[in-house]
Amino acid sequence: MTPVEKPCGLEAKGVVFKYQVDESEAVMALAGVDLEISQGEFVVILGPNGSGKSTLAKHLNALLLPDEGDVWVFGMNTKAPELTWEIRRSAGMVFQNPDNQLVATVVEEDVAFGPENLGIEPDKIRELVSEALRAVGMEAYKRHSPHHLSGGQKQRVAIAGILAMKPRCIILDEPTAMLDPSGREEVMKTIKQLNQEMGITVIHITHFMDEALYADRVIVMDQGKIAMMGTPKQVFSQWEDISELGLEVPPIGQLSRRLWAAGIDIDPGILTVDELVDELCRLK
Amino acid sequence: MPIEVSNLTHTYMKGTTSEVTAISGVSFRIEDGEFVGLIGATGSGKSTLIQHLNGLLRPTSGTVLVDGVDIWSKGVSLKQIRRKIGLVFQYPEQQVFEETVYDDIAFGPRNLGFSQAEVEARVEKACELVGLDKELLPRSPFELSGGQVRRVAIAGILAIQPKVLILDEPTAGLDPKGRMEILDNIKQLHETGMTVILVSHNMDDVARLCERVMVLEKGTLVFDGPAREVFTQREFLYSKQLRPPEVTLLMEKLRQRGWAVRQDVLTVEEAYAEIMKELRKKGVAGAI
Repeated sequence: MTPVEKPCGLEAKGVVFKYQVDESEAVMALAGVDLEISQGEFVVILGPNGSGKSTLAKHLNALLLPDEGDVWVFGMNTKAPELTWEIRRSAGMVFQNPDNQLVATVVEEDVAFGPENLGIEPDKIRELVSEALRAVGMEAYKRHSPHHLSGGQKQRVAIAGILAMKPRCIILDEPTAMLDPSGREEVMKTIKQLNQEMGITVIHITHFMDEALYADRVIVMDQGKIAMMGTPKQVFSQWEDISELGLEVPPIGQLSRRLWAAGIDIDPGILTVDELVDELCRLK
Repeated sequence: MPIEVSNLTHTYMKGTTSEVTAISGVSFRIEDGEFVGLIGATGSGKSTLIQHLNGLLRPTSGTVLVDGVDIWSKGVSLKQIRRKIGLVFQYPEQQVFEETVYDDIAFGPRNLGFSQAEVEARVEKACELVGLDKELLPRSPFELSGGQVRRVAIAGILAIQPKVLILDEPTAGLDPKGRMEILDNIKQLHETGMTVILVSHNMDDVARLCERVMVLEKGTLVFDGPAREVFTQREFLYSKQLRPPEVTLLMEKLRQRGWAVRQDVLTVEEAYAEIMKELRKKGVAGAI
């Protein structure tokens, strides 16, 4: 008997998921994943294409259900059908292509879409929408058409649409893949702020190694399993494993390590420009 | 086959209330064998501009000359132009549609009317160029990984054997390994003499690969020059929604702290060499 309630943030236990390719063949997308994410954590998931990152993310808001094992979202088991909508409200999802996510012709209507579906009364919706747009710094655009916004702005509106449903967790599946450098920074700063100021749990999937530096904890997936886990420093210090998994250490990390390997007395685990500047200046 | 663009303007939906000028008064010339990076914010006109270079879009005003001939003048075959100037669209895997990888790569050369033997030879050559395992040829493109499908799409263009290769965000959405492999292939193609125009949001990649960089802003060409020159102009880049590579930023900050390092450093290797040189001067790395 599977318990319906379990107190914690998000938890996956022994999760196995298979995609049916055809009648005779199935691909194991998740091959036994155990994971606990605390309320308020900022987690970045890295991994090669096809490693199971998106499949795992979709389990965390009941878009997919495990073939084996269980997933609990704030104590709610995703297998309990009566909890599905509450799970999706608590853990909202933002996807890669901003143009596929915005449905209305005016920004504020788009953000109101979620709460309207929840049957919240109009006055309260207006309040939720304003609050959400303020949180992502897009209040000035509330009467604009989403189509004329930049990529970063569109993603912030998509995030506001999730925020308006008062979630405890936001799951972002490569939200920056299609953005220019400024849009990418805009989105990353926005989600970091939501995490720090509102305590929202963030689960962010990306192929950009530098975005992992925003995380409290980095999880590396490979072939449907968790291959590595730790702080950004811990994960990127295992540079041999990182490159074997087809990932790469961010440029400043590569440089720090090379300097250290050449006998320079610095911390080889440094990953940011400012830290490396300070460390190098300390040598004088 | 040099490409010369003069005073190019492109207005979408001209004469309607939704009229938008996407490109305005852009001029440049690209010589044979160049490797040009085209950067700019989303919506700056990059995709619109490159579609003019092989005649997919017609300028509202201005001209595009290929080998000195206006591609929109009478008697010019656009089909011939597109044989010489290959364009790989963004997310090309969405345009993969044939039943097998072979058929997909063969689509272009077949369309050009080559014999079966010639088509086969071209497919084989294209696979080699992008590092695609020939065992994948009979498979369905839909069974392949993201990086592999991307390579199939590029191979499809290479099978036409163009002189100029234009790629719109060829690595978007790929993992680091897939990205590096594709960029290495592109680099090798350039080394064999192909002209390459790379549209990208990845400043590290553009800085590492391209000798010349063009920056678009709201349809206007606001910079056209050496990569080393543009990537050291931090304020200019920020104002265009772009960023310098991290290593370039590191050099700037070291200079502010009194280090006599070059600022126009674009790769980890260059930064390493520059810092070591300075550390030796300071006596810190004296023994090394």
